[in-house]
Amino acid sequence: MARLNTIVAILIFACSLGAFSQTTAWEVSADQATKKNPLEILPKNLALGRNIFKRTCVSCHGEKADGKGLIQSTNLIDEKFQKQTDGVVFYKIITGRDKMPPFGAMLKEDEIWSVINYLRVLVDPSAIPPPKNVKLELTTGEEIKSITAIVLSADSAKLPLNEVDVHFYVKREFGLMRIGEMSNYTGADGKVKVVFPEKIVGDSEGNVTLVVKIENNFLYNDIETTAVKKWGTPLLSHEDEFNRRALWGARDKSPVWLLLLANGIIAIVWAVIVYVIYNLFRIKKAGRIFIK
Amino acid sequence: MEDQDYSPKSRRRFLRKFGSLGLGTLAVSTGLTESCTNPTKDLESGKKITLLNSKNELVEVDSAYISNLNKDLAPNHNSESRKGLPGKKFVLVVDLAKCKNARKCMDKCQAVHQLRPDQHHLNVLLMKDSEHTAPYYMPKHCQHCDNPPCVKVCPVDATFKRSDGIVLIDNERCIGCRFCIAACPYSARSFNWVEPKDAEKYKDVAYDIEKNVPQKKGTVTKCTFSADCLRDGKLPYCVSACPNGVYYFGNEYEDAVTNGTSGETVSLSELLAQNSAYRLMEDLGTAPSVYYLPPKDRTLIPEIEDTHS
Repeated sequence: MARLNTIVAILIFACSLGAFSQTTAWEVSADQATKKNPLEILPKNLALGRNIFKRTCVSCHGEKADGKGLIQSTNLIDEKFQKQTDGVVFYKIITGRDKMPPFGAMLKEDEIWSVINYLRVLVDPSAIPPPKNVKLELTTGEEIKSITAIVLSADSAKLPLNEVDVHFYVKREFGLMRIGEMSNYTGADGKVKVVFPEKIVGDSEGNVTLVVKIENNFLYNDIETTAVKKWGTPLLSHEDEFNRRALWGARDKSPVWLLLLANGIIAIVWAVIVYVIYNLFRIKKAGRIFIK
Repeated sequence: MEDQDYSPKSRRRFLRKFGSLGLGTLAVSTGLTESCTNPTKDLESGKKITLLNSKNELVEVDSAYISNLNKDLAPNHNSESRKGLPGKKFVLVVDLAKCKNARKCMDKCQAVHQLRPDQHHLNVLLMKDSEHTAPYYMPKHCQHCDNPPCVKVCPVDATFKRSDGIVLIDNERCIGCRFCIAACPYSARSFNWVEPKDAEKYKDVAYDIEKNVPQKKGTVTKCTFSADCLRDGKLPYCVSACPNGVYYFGNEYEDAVTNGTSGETVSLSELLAQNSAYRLMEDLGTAPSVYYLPPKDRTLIPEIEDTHS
């Protein structure tokens, strides 16, 4: 009995250890914790941070970074999280734990630092100026299929704005497919050009919807413009292929030769049976005549 | 009197048009036929109600002629659902490297399709290919084959292949012979041996062929690629429920797939080529519409308890 008690005690101890290890503090060594963020809090860095946050973090941590995404996760805007140094957060993003994947292999160091900057600005937006409105115009090149975005200030002066990140997309069934780079910055004339890639499929006439956006930017408000161009390869109708008589099992899709063969065999067999029965009657009839 | 009858706004004329739509398409009906033959002004309340009919026309009808049938009516798409959406061929890409067995996709699927916990349209399996290889999680849907063995064996044409690639079951045709279950090499189908979950709750719900709801005892059920969502231009339930970015879904003809978690859209052919994608049991010639990206660069390697030590 005493032995059983010991075993139970050990088991309980082991279980509590297991539970404890789940909730232990996430130890970060001192040299990791004091690592300095090499990036300044600049609109350009923040925009990169926001882009990456939207792509990689939102699913678990939520749009507002409050930990209410598709699963319950750490609240990134509360005091408990924000009082950690940049170095600690950086280490945790790189290594991950439990449901938090290690992003060390997925993201570049600069990208991680920019996400950290973005999280800091989320709780303290005073560090950045309020965003301005811009005007976004499009011109298209026909010879080489290309699309040029011109970013101008929204006031009457219409000054070209440089160093604005413009995103180019093609509309697809369930979302927007990026064309060009992740970031396309405007030049001094406020223009940025992206070449339309080949082999993009449009609708049945080859029309594609191009969407140009300024988004996730800290200097300028979101704006988007669309253009429809006949640049894509026409979507082929595959109805004929689908309706081809190839699916043997389904009645309406079986090949004609198979139908003829199978039904022919049945017809021949029945014909023989009918012929035999008919002849039996004839023999009987002939017999009656003979007897008379 | 005659003027009244044949003027464009006459109630009789309106009702004649209206009556041809049939009862099944409107959430209002009784009283219509009576008023058609015997129009009495006394009945009218003068309050007009605007309704949308099945031809997508807005019509006005006096509130006195409306009564609630109190029953969910069959969705309009049921008659269309054997045809498939034109110009589309749906494809699912499952990135095994990202699956961490969160099982949000399964939960959502079972909730939407009225499934008991042991019934799966979609199951996340723990796989281990051989003794020395690492285990991984594999979400397994119906593969929506282009050459579906299940469709071939159905004796009553209850399960069918649509032009947009989806294989569906008409539970109102299904006789429960389970030939399709035997034919499917992916074990994607399950049978309602007993009364389905929440049978009472779903009693008055009209059958939706694109959702397989309500489930019927004695018939087969399986993944529908959430055809009801696709009709509305939305991603399937499981795809948008995944927190880990496992699923990409899109139109094969457009050569683009969208990640249900991040919303990123990428080129299908590039995604498949760069990640050495594969399909399950390729050698059977079933030509599935579901592609798998191998579980490389993983952040989580599941542990299998060794039962032999």
